[in-house]
Amino acid sequence: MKRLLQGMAVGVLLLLPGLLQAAEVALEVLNPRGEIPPPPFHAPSERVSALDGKTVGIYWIGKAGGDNFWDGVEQLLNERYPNTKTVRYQGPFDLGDERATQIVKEVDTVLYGVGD
Amino acid sequence: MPTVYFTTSQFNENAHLSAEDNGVPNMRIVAVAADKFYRERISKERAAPVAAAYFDEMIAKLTQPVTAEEKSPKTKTSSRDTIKVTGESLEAALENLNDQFLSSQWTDGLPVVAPTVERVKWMLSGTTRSPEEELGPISPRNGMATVEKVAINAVMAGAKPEYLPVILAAVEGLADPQFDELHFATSTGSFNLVIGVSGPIADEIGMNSGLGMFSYGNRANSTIGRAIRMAMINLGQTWPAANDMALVGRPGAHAFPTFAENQAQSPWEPYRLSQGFAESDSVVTISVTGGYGQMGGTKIYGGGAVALVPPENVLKSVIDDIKSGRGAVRETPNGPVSGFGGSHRKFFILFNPEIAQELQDRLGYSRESLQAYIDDQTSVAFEDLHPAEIASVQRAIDSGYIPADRVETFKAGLKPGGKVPGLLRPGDAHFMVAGGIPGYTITMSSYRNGIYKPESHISKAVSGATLTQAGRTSSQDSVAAKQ
Repeated sequence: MKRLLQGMAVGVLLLLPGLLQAAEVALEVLNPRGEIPPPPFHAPSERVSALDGKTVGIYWIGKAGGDNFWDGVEQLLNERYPNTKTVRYQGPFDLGDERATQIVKEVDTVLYGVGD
Repeated sequence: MPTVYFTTSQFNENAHLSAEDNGVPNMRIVAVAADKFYRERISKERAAPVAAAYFDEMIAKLTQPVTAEEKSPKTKTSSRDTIKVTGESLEAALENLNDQFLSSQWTDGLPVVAPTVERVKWMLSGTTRSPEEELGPISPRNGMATVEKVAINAVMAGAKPEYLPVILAAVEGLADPQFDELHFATSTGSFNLVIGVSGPIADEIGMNSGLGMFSYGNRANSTIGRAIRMAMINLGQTWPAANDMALVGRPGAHAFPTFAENQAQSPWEPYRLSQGFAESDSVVTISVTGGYGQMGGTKIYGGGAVALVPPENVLKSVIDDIKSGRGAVRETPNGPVSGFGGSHRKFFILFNPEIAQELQDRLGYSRESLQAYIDDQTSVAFEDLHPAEIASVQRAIDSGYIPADRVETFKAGLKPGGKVPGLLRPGDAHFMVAGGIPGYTITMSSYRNGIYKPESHISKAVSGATLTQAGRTSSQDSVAAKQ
């Protein structure tokens, strides 16, 4: 009898990994992410081939100290591209259609700075 | 127009996400090292080497031809509807789920309840609304909020089905095209959201409107606030330092402060009536607040259990603080521009019950007369304005910032003996009664007008509830049905 019980115990031990494997738990859960409808795609605008003779707009959203950085950029542009003009703009992050249309008319290319 | 976008390295991911969200995923970006820019911007001399370090990159991005790859949209695969998570035991599977969800940026960092099919179905039993109903896109990434997606997030937050109609109303507020969720969800300031429930559903679902109304320990308050945070993470798809750029985080990091109006101890008619809703309605108000201090942040008034502060002094302090903001009177270079410190503020005042009772019983203020008194007393006398402030108000009128129906009032204020309103519109100092006895009065302030959309405070009626008597229909349903 004792031997029989020992044999059964060994059998259970041998089967245990299989039993544990069979006990793997699977949870099927729902994805919490909202679908993002893809917005219309716009490629970057064609670049100017060179800056010489061009007008460069510099748009800054006006946060403190940024002007010092843009002064440095403007100075380098003037030094290295003497025939290039710069026009400085300042306004809110979202410049709006009216301002954007105005800038498009006045310059050939734009540096847009957020600073944050 | 060929453009190069300058940002700092801390905001580089944010810039790329914004570009993608706006349909320009291949926008050319220069990311200036944040540790250099913010320290060196203090003077021209110190900023010049930083500018020089990025000059060649800037020139290249302005002049190198756009490549074929840049001209091609990236293809994105749609996310799977269901996900299978396994483990050697239930505990292991739940742990794996939390790890997987967190690494996918789908949770707030605290463990969540697994949104199993059965659990979400259980959550949806709280509403008659169709799971497919679209409430609208949620900023900043414009993930669509459907009733089912909100329910999934409500499950994760630990909510119960009877809270779902309240959560849906709050999400409707977030998705409202008039409500500026984008700014408060992404700003570098610690702007936050507060959620207030006015109406009988609050009692039915066991919300706390009394002592410690913003505290832990109440499942409805806690999980409604957390479900809205979850919805912003998964529908708006925010993530800290990626597109939620709050420099010190937001007070509602895991759950936005959520409370119920204490109507039982209020001497006044409910807040929802002042917003055009019916007595029988249950209404959820979401309001942007200044978080850890922006735009006045949250302030506390009165003596609580400790000091004796007469109610008239509490009211005067509240009014003085509102007035100190000076609205459009503030001298700003461009006139009042939202986001540049010159715009009007709006206030959400929570009067504690004993102050409210004293204001009504001893000082004779009804809700209506108190609102009128606050509107009047927060105005600034013409004689107290200096010339630059007068010019600022005039610019506000000329630029169209002042709403057409308020222009005459503002113009009248620019004459001897006149008063310029400190609030853009009457009623911009919203108030409810909340908290217990004793309590404190608090004010929470933020921009009146959002930066990107017009409103920073909005109320929505609860409807479609199945497990409560309140919130099954709303007076707004009948208005909508007639239209």
